[in-house]
Amino acid sequence: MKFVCLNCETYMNFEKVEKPGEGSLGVFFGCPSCGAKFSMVTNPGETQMVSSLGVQLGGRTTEAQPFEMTRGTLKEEAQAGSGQMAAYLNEKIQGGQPVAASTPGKAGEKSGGGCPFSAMVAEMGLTSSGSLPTAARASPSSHGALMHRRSLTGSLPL
Amino acid sequence: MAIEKDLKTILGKLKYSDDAKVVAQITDQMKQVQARMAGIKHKLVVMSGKGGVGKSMTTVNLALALARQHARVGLLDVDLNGPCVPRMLGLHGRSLTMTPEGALPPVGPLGVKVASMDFFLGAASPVRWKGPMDVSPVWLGLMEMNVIREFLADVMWGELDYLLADLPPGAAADKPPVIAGFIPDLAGAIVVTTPSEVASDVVQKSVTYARDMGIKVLGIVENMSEYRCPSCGELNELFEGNTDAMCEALDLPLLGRIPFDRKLARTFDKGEPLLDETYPTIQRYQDIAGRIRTLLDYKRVLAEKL
Repeated sequence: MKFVCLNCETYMNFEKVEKPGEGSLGVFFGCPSCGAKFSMVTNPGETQMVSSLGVQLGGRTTEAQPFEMTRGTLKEEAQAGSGQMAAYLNEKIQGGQPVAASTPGKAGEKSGGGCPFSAMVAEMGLTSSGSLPTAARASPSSHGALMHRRSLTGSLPL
Repeated sequence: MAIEKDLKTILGKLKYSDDAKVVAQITDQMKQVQARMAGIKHKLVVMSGKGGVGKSMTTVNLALALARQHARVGLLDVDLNGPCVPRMLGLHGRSLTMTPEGALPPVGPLGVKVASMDFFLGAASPVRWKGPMDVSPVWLGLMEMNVIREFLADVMWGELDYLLADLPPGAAADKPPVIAGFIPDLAGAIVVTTPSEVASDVVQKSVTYARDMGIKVLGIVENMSEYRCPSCGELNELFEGNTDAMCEALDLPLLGRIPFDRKLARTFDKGEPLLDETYPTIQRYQDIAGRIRTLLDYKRVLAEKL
């Protein structure tokens, strides 16, 4: 993925990666001509999609270990049970209010299917009626990566 | 009012640079797979469009048969969600030995090296991933493909004559032929079927799909051809399909027929595989292994002459 500065008609340079929140990545880009800065902020699901490629944005800083991704992503017995998205879907199916996306599932809880971004949507504040709070409604896409100019700081929901 | 910029024109003037080093890392991953596979003479996949036809039983026995013929053999269990090869070979509970250079596979009967997802799992644990996307089918597909990539890139097989990969069931884009496409210089696929017409239908689809992917299918193994009575050894029919006709339609050789053999199957269920090469069903596997070797040698000789 590349970003283009339309003013300068050039690719923006990748600068750095930060973790602005749990499960979130902030990827910084800068225009080499005018110095404009952009940060692309991923939600936890998008972050996991990127990490599943087995790559690190900006390049590796440590030597890869054998089965690094497999071992790092396998759920251990102590953590077994359904994940955040399944917990959310179970709650929804049972007619309750959306649960916090970080709420761990109970062991043995049945996993659900459906939209892969449901938990993130829940985390963004989507109510059971489907309405969005003002801040989320203002974002370009509640399913996509949220982009904002660095100068326009403000707490966008991740 | 600002003039609308034409992105296509702008991009046409720009030179792409991989400054986030993503392309470089993916290239490195592919190189590592190539390097790991370089010491293996023949890489084969065992597949079938249909589940329950005995792919794992066939793969394991072919691996043992080749090992009996003094070949150095590795067995990669690519069925991530239903790995059973370690249990069949008495290796359940063992694990890969992690070293900075890679993962050393446990060694099973007759020196067959084995790698499997089972080595990462507890006694009765299914594969469960952590993270917010843990049940997303989109993410699971991506994740599983990269886990398979790690199996190909990180296991230290050393020098092998044969690596057999036991693929999960599936006929089309839902994995097996795609997985086979990951393996560099794949010698070919061995397709397992039963004489059942239902199985034949699905198997034909998987052969067509594999060919579409450029995978050479070496031949068909008909499993559960008959039933061998454990008491008297008499053979009786189980199905009434026609694998010969299917092979003719697909222009593929029938590599051999294997009876359903309860006695042999039970030894694998217990993790204590029968290894006696004089046993009739094992002799059939030996014959099939011999035919596979001949096919591969013929292919090599042909390639050398051309």
